[in-house]
Amino acid sequence: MSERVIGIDLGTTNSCVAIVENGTPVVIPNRGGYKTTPSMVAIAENGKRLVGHIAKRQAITNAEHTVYAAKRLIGRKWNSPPVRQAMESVGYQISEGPHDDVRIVLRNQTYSIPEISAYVLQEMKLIAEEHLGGTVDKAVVTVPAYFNDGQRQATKDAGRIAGLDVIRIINEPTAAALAYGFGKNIERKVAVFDLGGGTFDISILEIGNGVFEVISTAGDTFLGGEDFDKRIIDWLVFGFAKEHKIDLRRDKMALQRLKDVAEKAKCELSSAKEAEINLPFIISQGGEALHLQRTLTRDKLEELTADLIERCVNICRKTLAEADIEKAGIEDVILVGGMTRMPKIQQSVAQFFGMEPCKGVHPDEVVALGASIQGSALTETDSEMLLLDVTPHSLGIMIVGGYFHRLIIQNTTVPTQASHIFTTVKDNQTSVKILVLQGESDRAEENELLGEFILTGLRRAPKSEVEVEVTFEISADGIVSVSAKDMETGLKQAITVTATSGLTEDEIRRMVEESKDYLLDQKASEEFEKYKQNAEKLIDEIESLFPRVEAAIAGSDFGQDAVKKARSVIDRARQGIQGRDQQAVGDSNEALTRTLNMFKGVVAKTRVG
Amino acid sequence: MGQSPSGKGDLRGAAERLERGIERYGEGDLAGALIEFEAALQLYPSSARGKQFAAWVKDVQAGRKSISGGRRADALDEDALRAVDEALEDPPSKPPSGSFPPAIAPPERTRKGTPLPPTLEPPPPYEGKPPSPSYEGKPPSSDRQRRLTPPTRAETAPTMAQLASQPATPPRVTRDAADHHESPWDPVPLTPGGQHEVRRADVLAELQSSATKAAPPPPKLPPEGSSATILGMPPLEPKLLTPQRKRKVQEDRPESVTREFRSATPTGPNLRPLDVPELTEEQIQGLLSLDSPLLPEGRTTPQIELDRIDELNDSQEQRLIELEAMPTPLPHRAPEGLNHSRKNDTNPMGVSSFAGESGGEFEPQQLTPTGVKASGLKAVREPSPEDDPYADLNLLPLEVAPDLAGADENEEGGTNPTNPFIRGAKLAAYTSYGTGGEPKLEDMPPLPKQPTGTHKLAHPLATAEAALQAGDVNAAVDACERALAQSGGLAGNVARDHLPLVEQIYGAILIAADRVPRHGHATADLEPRSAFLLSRIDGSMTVEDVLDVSGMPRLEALRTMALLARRGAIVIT
Repeated sequence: MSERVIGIDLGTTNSCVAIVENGTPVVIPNRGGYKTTPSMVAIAENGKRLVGHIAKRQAITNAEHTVYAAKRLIGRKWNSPPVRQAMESVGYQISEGPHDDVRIVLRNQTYSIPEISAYVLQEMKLIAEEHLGGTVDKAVVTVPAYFNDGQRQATKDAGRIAGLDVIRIINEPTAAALAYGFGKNIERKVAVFDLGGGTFDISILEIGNGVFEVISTAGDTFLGGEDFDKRIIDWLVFGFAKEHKIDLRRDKMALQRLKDVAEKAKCELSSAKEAEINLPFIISQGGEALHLQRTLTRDKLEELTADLIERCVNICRKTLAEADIEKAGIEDVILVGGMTRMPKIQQSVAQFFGMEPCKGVHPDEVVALGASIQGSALTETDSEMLLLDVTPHSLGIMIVGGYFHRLIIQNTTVPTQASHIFTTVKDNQTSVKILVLQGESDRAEENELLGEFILTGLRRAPKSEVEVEVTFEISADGIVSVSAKDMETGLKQAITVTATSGLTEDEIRRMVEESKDYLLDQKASEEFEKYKQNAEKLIDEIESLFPRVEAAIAGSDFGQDAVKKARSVIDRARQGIQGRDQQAVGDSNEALTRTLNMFKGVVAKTRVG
Repeated sequence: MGQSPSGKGDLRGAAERLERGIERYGEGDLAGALIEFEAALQLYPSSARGKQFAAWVKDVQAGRKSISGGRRADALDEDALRAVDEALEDPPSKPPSGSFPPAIAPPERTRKGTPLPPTLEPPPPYEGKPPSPSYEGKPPSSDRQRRLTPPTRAETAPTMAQLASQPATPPRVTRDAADHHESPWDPVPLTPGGQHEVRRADVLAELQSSATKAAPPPPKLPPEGSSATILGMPPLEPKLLTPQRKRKVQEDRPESVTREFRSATPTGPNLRPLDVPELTEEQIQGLLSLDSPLLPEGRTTPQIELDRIDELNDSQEQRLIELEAMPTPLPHRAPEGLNHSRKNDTNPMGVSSFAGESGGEFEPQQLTPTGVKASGLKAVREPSPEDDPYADLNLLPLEVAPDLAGADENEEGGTNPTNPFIRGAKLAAYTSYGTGGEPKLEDMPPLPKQPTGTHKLAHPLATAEAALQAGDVNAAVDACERALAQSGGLAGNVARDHLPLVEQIYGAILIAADRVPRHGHATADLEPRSAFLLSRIDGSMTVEDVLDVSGMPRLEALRTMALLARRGAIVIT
């Protein structure tokens, strides 16, 4: 029997975990029964770490110490535009890390982005382990198709910190198409329209003969369901301010309630024509409590979010154009993400692609299901399925004039290899500097530098006489290797571009240990609480019987001894509780139970006597 | 019923209650006084004085108690008893019927002032040394426990020899063996028959001893079935009990001619707290010759006026003369100046000493109704605190509480611990044995360390804590709310200094942190913060989770949840 591998959709706003059981992929619900878990981490005032639903419930009242949408920051450089944009919109503190990476400060503690994502992955791991009744060590984690190597490596590091061996990172549209195509012998060109809580992605896939090829992918990392929520909140706030001259956004508690009710109303309007929004005692003014009560119709919601829907459509249009694909060539449109439940979204997609989108898959769960299928395929030796992935960005080097020369074009299926011969640009040039870049811009400076190296020992010759062959190789795991060879001498120089998340190996190792310790502490704390509650209950019962027992038996030496011992047991238990000594409390529970039984016996006897 | 925290008691609270009870008693409100004394016992069950005072009041309410059939050597005869009864007006109280197991106390009954039915047999004699004065934190000694443990029916009455050898604690006096029953809430009585019995017995004993210097003959046991044989003393000549000048106890029911009070009927405001025997003029003058602070010039109390005998005449309202009673179980001492060789109420046989033919159990200077041997007597205040039965309750007010006292009461310097209405600075004259002469104030038990005119509890949340211990969570929360309101609310010093207790009190309503709260019925008049807290409850989060996401300080969140739960807006599942 193969080892169990879970598939995790690590989303921007919500995450989901699934596994293949008896050949069928199933989503694993969390303790609250929900199939998705908010990708939020908070540190409470008492230092407690909150993850998931509970973190979401206080995201606004504790905004400075609640992290959301960490996926927008993972693997990015400190001075990258997305980080700047995120800093302007989030409530928590973002700071620069020691390796030009991004860190977050919560309650005077600094956390790396992979660490934050690790807490979410750890939560998903625990959900799976609770469901399966055993440990889970391996996982396939999905990422957006446009994630670069640094972002993918950071996601893998997050998995490692969470105690998971991430055996594969796959693209989300690929995972969705995998779940959609699983069990179906189809050859199709499909568009995956993924509108989640925080991001929008559109991918074009070609499925055939068990091969899933991503032809094109694009999106907007700051466009998602939360933007729709914000429109509703603004509408409610403005209406209330018009009536009462109070800006509810200034009150965190009011804003939290608004956020929760706006999301709920949005979801309701996917199936109902109107939603009643009722927030009693939302705020007080002059000692009088005010209430917010409004009705939001579907039409009004569509009016409020029309531009957001238009943005999605525009991105789709651009992606098709870049892939040089006609809309008529798309045979199916797959909807992924909770926001695709909105009727207007479905209508707009249908209108754009000229066909009704496929609704046969659960939009919240499909990516996790696809990841679990991939995980099962990787561990099963007899799997006939081959999943080809593509490189999301072009790879190349800088050439004279500061231009970017592509060697591997974007969306090239991996693994792949490409070579090109270059010459010197100066007379008597004896060395060349190879700058490995990733991106789509023709200007080298606008692309991301993955690495560089120097090839020396070239013979002195006039320019253009010496030839250097540069080879790019991308493995199935996305590791890029670049080599340069002097065609005359055969001298070769090579580098392996290992994506970095911004964390060193030592840091990752430390975080892995801390994560393990945290889990152990959690378990111990839960057990201690159980012991403590039992002990306190026993103590209460014993003390309620004490006077009667004391009156009944304290006249004898035996009775006094028993009373003395009973007090001693209670004192010991209390000391254990106060000192949070689980062992002592656990031992005391037994003694307390015996004492209580003895007391009950005495009382029963005196009643009869 | 409220119980003091196990192993410890609220001494200050008990002292306050005792004082209040004394006040009530002084006002003639016996029921109220009993309630206060019993409340003190609840706060500090081991309080000997609380028990003493409660028994005192009960005895006053219930009337006379008599010991059953002739086992006591110091019983009064029937005539003496009748004469005393005639001085009183209230009818005897009928003890409630039925009985209950000796080991189980019916505190509810005692709290209401219902007298307990008489026991069949007297309690066993007090044996061994007095309990350790420092009870707090220590398990009670066997002796102390013996004193507190209610006697069972199986326990036999003490023999004469036992009685002679026992310390001053008199055995319980019962009226009727058939319908009297012990309960652990019955304290060891001060004297057989209660206070008025003590008074009568004391006076009779003193008068008797003054009439004769010889040791009295062995007490003649009263006939079987006689209800008059209560103290084991020889029968007195009736004429000795016939007062020369009649004095009536002023009560609100003048038609009553007996001294026994209905237990269920609260006494009137003019009820005198003590019964005293009718005294002859000679006896009165003898008493007056004592340096008695009981009859200060011009001092009066609202209900009890202690006047000098020579100021009284027939036309004036009769007043009750208080006599100083001996502290119990301290040995009693005859007042100075009494002629022990004369026949009188306390020495009807006119013997000079009771340690006569039989070798005597009594000595002239140490006449006690219980006939305790001198060798068995102990000094009131021995150097060793171990022998002091009351040392554990050092806060008993030797000085009258300022709100009760006038200036002259403070001058007098103290109250008799056995009879709080006896204000006597010369208490030591009757309490310091073996020293003679002027009593020393340093022999007195230490004064309670309370600021004058103020009665502050050491622990501002003591009431709440006691209620919590008793399981009355709502009362605990109410008391906690009051304490917090008086100390600056949740940010005040009480909340700050007693945070764990405050959290425990509010947390008690929420039962446990892992319980899941759900919405109850809709409530009106919510604060926005309370409404926010309610909005966090989704039926899946535990109490602890809700506190974590409350968006407010933990204590505030805990309190808000607790109060919402009390209102029914939250249901804890």
